[in-house]
Amino acid sequence: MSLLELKNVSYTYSSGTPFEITAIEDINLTIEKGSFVGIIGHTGSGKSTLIQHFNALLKPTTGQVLLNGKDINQSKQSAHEARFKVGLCFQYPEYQLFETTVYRDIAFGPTNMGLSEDEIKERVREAAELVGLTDELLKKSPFELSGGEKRRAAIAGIIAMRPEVLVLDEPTAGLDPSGRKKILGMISEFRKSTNSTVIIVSHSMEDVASLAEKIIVMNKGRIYKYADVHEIFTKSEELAALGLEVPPVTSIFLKLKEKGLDVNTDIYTKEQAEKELLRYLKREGIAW
Amino acid sequence: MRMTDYDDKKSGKTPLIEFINASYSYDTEEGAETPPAVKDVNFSISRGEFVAILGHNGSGKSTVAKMTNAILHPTKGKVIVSGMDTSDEALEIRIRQLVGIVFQNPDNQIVSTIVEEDVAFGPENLGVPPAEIRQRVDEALKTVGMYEYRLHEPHRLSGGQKQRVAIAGVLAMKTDCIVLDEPTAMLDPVGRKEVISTIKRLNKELGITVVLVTHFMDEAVLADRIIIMNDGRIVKDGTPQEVFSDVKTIRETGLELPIGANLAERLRNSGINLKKGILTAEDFAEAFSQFVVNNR
Repeated sequence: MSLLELKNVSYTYSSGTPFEITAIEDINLTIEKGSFVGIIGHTGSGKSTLIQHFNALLKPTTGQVLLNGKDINQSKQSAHEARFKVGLCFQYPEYQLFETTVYRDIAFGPTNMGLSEDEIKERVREAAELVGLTDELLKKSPFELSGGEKRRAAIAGIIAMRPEVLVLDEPTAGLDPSGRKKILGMISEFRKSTNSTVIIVSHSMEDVASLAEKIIVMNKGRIYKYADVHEIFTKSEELAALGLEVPPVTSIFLKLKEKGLDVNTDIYTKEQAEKELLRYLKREGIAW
Repeated sequence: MRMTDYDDKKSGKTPLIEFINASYSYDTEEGAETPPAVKDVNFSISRGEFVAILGHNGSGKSTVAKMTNAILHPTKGKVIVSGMDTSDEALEIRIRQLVGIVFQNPDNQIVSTIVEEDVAFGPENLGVPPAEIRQRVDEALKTVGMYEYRLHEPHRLSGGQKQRVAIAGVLAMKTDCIVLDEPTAMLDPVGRKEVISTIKRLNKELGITVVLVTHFMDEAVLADRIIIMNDGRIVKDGTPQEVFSDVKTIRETGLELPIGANLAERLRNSGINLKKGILTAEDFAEAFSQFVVNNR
């Protein structure tokens, strides 16, 4: 079932001035309910402009954005509702923490939704547990947290609104490897426990390939391709021409293939890689 | 741990940057004592070296970066740049002529509306004569491959281009050493490649000393030497091969192995012993196909 639908959406910045730039053009897109979609594309390809249309932060210059079949830009009310139903987490969201305690920061969204005190409490606890923040940390000032913890607190604030769609722009940028793993694990966990739709924008092909089922490739403000992970990452030359690349693990298998080894190149994670290498050795009857 | 001081004396090289029992504590608003971000750190960097500094968020690596050119002065111990104490304010300008820093966010480092003016900002502040500034700016922009963009507006450039302009700004000061604090964290794959290949060229072709603070293991393996920081201290200092063969320390400090080393380690756990020293994707592909040939 389609949850989010964009019909012929274009957006022009500074429209009517000499500086007008069309950031996205003629976008037609359907996001299915419960799907996990990755968005990739080089800087300036229109990714950020695109996702800001998902919750009416930007209103298309032409075209329509439908959520559950209803135009979200129809009225102030519908745009307001879209903000809660589609939770948008910007890049470096920790810079937007501002409350006196982590608890109050996570509660900010639910409070604005006009929920009861008890409901807010429950949602904050639930979101904090999901992102792995302890009760102890909830009492602290957000500024006392580590970089990774701050990032998780910021995401918890969005999760606490229980959005139908969670959109994350570069959720792992600037984090160390263990912080990155925690965030990625948390996103998987959120999806499993809530069956929500998740959309992630990332420069890390590894992150996208290991999490998403379908991928949108943006190029020059248009959707270049919208297909399964497999279909996107089997075309390494095509990606390179767009300023993108295959995940590092995949590049190893492409190199092995070049060297004449008959390996499967449809490999995106280290776990898959380990299995495929062992399988290859066994199949070739190579003992060790 | 590598005895850098000893090595330097032995080889007769003078260190460019020296940390001697250096610690740093950030002040809190109340002026209370906070635990130091950098604790009793000792290391030295020689001219021409390419050193990567790794460590998890909050390990003290960015603080160390800011201590190399007197942005931060050690609260205990000393940091010496080419014989000059960074705590001596009178030497600040001379130190910054030797060591320049490029930060993570390309948008926070732009001061002018035209690329070449941005690059000229440093040497202008140093009082370099205009004719020489012209020459330095052109040279620096050519070095980073941005000369054809000299009359462009910096804010319209891509992230990778902006970072290369920032690097040119440091080069135009004729610094001996460039310190880069996560210069690629905000860049797309192409931007990352542009910046990393520029950094490599500066080091290999121009002999500029490079200190690269990063979270990307595949960038760190390009260095001659890697320093790992944990909880404000140096816990490992050696060649990429030495550092990444210590899997235990890598795990304990919240880091990860570079892709080639990671897969080699996984196979090793299944009893497959590929050759030692595998780091990159290329290394792994080479070693694995060799293994297949040898054992077929």
